[in-house]
Amino acid sequence: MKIKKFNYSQYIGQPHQWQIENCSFGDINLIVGKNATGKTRTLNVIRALARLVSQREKLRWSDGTYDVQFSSNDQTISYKLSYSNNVVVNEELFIDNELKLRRDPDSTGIIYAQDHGDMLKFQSPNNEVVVASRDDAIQHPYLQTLQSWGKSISRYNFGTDLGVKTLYLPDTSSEVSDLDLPSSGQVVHIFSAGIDRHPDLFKQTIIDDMRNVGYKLEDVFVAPIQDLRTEPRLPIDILSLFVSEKGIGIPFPQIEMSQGMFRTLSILIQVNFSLLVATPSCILIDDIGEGLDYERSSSFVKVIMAKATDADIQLIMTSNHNFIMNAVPIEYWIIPQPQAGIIVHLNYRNSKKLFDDFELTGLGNFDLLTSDYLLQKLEDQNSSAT
Amino acid sequence: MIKIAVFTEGQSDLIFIRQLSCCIIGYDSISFKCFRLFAEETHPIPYGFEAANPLVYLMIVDVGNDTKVLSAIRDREKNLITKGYERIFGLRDMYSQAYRKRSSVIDQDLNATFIAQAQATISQMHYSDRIQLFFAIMELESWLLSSHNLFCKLDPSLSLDKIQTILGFNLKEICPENDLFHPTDQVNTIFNSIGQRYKKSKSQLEAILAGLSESDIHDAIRDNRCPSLESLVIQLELLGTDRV
Repeated sequence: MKIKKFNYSQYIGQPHQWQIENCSFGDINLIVGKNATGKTRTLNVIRALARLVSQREKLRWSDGTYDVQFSSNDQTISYKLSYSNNVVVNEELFIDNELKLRRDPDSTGIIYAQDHGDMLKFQSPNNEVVVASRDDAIQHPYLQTLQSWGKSISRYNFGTDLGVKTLYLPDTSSEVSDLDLPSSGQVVHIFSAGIDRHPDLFKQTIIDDMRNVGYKLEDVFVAPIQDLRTEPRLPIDILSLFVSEKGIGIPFPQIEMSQGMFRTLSILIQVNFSLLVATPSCILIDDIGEGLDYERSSSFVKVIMAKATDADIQLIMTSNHNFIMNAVPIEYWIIPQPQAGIIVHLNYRNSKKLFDDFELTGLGNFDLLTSDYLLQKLEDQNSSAT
Repeated sequence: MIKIAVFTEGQSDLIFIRQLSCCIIGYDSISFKCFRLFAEETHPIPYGFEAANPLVYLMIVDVGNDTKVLSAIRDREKNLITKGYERIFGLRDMYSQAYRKRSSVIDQDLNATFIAQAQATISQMHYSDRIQLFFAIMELESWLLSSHNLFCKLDPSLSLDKIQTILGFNLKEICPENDLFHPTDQVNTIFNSIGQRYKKSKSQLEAILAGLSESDIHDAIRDNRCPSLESLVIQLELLGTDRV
């Protein structure tokens, strides 16, 4: 299932109003723009919706309205959710324009029961999201599509340490199923679990991907870290990721890796694990390539785009880095345009001519943001509209 | 001495402009240094040359991508002019991803659109009167094919007659700019006939262009055969005679 159109609003009419208006997504997406244009926040609200519809999170903010359109196996799923003061005000679900769920402000509503072939009345607690709480594969199997999408969305923040400071104490009682993927804090555990599940394939995939990014790894493994002293002394080993690189004889642990190398390794371990174990519905990566050099950031984004394309997974990334923008075709770009609390998005789907004409300027992708081209075109559009 | 900065879309264009400039301006009047733009920084690459009393100094920069040529010029024009560069040239192929998206054949109107739009981009720059972009139409390889004796110099078996047999037309009688959409294919076919593959490698381009002479260039532009090359040649001739 993939997001096609996304609307979100908070605090309408108030000074801190914030609204994403009719943002359309393709299979591969790169949200680009200067700081404070809503890139990260867009990922945050998508992830928040995913957690709401999969019951992994309660209503997060005191106010919010979602109006989202998904595509799934040639079906169009439209979902609306509105809440205020942590109480659900409205909820609506349509599949191919057929009403499946409608909930009113008094928390009563109707929901389609497939086995009955009819709409049934219901009443729900006022702070519960119905599409998340109705777990009935016989009467409401269509809700499971939305719930699964929410459960399997993965969000990574490339600009963070991604678990470099977190080592691993082996715990035989802790199974992979206990992991709340993705989990950068458990990347050593995730790597071990990947090796357990797919001993040769997993390691080789990580090594190949790292090489494609530009890190000439010969091996990657988990081993006890010898030089670490703890007080009191622990009776078990503390495990770390190690890599050995071509031309460097001695393997080195994660805490000695460069920031860029570890971030790349951490994301590749988590993404590959989720691809092997349970295909994610959508991968969100904030600040992709942050901290990597020119060649590696370009290669990394291409590796990730290829993985998403091969697995037919929706990929939504953000960046304000010229290396990344120049490596990602402008057909995949989404450019937020904040206008008095409302963020409209320009992309190839809604502004094809603008993007096509830019190619004729002979400038590189990054100049779409930094040159006067965009500003000029928007001014022209506005003046012709008035 | 006139200082000129030249930005090329790749290594092949860098080698070509270097050899072309040497032929037209002459080794006794030219100095040059070559660079590659990598991660927004220029790194020296082979090779440089210094005449005792040069009329022209060329800084040639391979920017590594067709869409980076104008971007690199735009980002550096002020600094270059401040440092005494009098002219800034760009060199790129017309054949590109953006072109192929719009047409799979040579489309003269589309060529004119690309040229006009690039000129419009230049006109937005601060020193637009000192900046000139040259398009190789459709690719640099058109210019190589137009300089038809180059192949014979590379391998004596590659006579015009032999190439006519291989390609099905006489290189002297066609206008590669108008007739060949992807002239790299024809150069590759010529290389295949001597058991090689044309990979646009540095060593191949150096080998082909080592034989470039003034008469090859005049062959290439005779009878208005390669106007895109001719416009570049005219500019270089003006530099050589200090009449820019």
